[in-house]
Amino acid sequence: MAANVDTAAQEAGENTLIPLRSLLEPSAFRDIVVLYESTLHKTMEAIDEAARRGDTVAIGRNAHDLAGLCGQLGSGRATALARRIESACTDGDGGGASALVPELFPAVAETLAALAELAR
Amino acid sequence: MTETATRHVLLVEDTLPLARSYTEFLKTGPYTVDHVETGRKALNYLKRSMPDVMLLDIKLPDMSGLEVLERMGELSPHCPVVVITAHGSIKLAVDAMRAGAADFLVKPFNAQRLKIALANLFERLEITGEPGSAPRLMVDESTSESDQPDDGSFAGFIGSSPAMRTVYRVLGAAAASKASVFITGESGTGKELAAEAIHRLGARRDQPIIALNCAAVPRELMESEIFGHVKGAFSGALADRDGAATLADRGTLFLDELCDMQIDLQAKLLRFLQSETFRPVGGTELHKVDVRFICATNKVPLEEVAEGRLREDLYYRLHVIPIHLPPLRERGEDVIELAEYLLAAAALEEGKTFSRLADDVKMAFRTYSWPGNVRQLQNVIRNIVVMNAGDIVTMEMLPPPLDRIVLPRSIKAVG
Repeated sequence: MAANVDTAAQEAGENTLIPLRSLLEPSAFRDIVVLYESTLHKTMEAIDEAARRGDTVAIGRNAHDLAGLCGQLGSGRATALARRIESACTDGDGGGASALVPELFPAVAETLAALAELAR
Repeated sequence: MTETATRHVLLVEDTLPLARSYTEFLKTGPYTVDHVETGRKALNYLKRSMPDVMLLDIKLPDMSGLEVLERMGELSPHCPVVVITAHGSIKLAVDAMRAGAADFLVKPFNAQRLKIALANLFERLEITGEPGSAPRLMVDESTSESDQPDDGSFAGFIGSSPAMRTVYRVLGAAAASKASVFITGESGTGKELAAEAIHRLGARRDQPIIALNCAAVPRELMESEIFGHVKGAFSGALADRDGAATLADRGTLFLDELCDMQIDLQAKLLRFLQSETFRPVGGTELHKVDVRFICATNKVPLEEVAEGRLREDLYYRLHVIPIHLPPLRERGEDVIELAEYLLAAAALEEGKTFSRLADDVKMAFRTYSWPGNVRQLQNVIRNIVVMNAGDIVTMEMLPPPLDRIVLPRSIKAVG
């Protein structure tokens, strides 16, 4: 399914946190990174649980949040997948949305790895 | 905006990391920020306090940003709002603008984008007194008394309708600034005249205004038309040639039908706007100029952004002072003022004796929708004057399609 994701949307965007690294105290910057990390974990858990329950509305709502978070971090693949899942939910295609969820885990893992790198 | 003025921002965003990012972005500029996570908290906040601007996420957990916009009208009608929308939701942003939002930002955005949007907003507020695209009246003290529309005319425009008086005031105020101006309006409403008025009334009046119609110049020549070229840049480039950017140095560059400019050239135009430097086609040397930008379109810029025909970042850069020229059908009695003015001018030029319009002709003019606006009215009047003789313009003299207008019997008598 990943091959279907719009190529343009997969392009890595700008990680908008990078300029903040040089502007903020290291501890303040780490706080932001930790906030992103914990919210990404919580949102992924919420999507996973909602997919198990077949709760299309909750999948869509959390995918929307995830797209916003990953977009801000310049993670093209995770953003594009989250948008596709949100779009499927909006169209009432819960099955299609749930089928994409497993692909989201490795994509968000990449995002988390990039975040961890940024915090070093 | 004034560099040192600190503005207070109310940020309404339920995704905490995003809220934290936006807050840090703003803190690198002259902003203080209060953050709330829900629409209800935002409305409660507005009962107690008045921020300089509200940054409002459209998708909130308890209500939509559109509902917040509606409900805040009673609490803080003068608080400008910039809505934050997700990628692919620009149609929602258009709805928000219609509901009174001053501008929009599409996620994701960086610190620079956010600060440009707010700086543009506050610049608009200072210049026009209105954050949105339909500025309310505000007299600008730097505009001379003779520029004020006391007699229903202003810098080449004719008409004293409230809509046009608003336009005159904003034109006068915009002339005193170097800020970019984005003129919108249907064909024939006077966009080029508005651009010329801004240039003529401003400090650059003694310098050139260079106009380029992005729809009229062939695509392959457009870059050279704007930035010029060096000898040998392409076949036919037999010598170095200055483009509009160089010719407009210290003056004004007017880009008409901007939305028709090809998207890759829009990227180059954006770089030019940001840096005021450019390279001629085929050249290596950077040229620096001082140019004031005015652009115009007969399309709806936000819809063009939504359709991917106008770069969103270019829109942000240019949309500092929006001026909308109303269509003639929304200008009330202006159609008669204009017709009489044009009649006198055409009669003088053609050596005719026409001096007034019959009452039923006036009614026909008021009834007709004028899809071609003032330009169409101008052509109709010229046609009447050339093709007829007499002192009064009568219904029989009207060219198509005005000759097919059916008026109520009670006003058919010639005045």
